[in-house]
Amino acid sequence: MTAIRHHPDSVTLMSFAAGTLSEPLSAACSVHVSMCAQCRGELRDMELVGAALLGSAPMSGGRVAVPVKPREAQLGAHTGDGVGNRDGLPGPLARNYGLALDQIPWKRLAPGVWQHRLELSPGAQGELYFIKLAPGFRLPLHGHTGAELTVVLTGAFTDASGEFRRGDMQDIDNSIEHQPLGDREEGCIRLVAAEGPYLLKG
Amino acid sequence: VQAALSALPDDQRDVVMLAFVEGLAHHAIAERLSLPLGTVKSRLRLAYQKVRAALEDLK
Repeated sequence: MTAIRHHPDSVTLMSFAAGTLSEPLSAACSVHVSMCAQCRGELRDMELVGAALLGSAPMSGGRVAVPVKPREAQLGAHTGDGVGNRDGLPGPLARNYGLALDQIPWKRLAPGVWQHRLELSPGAQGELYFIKLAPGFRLPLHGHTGAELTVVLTGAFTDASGEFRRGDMQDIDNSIEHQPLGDREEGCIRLVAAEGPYLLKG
Repeated sequence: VQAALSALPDDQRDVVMLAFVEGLAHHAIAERLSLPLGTVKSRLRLAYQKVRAALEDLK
């Protein structure tokens, strides 16, 4: 498969390693990591840091250390089983939602744009959904009310920051406005995890 | 890794400890330390770059 060129920010990956990302962001991260050998390597390094911290002196404020939360409890371990799963959903999503890509019950939002929302645990903050863009169709220009992580599952999309293909992650915050455009030949299916709703512009 | 962590400035080590050991999300760290979220993230990023360089030396 094509090499993955866009990865989560190291701070996002650190939060994922520490088990402190919110449920939807953690879901998107686990999907990217299942498809990305480079990020699996980074995670192993971060786990070494976490392990070293558990054996280290208290922080300067003198607090007592408690164990790192197990990330595996959130959305499956980063086993890399998304890599060979070209036609279906990456492992973490398939396991947790029992969906195949061709069975997603799409809801049409606009011409060439479909969405399907995934259910989160009771009380979980944020949103997790698939967006499908038909070839050459674009989302309206929108901003964000918090962090947003997007993983491309099929096809590709572009916006002002570049081109994102299968496995790529776009990691943005509320300072970014964009207008993703589906690839002119393939369109795209993206998994989007957001801390809050998007804000339509114009 | 322990040495690299010990060598971090207190402000960077504190955010790393709060993130990894106390399991606080970034916004909770920002609240705890009365810092802007961006400052918490930049301290974490700097800290990880230093520790990662130490890990690379070990490999």
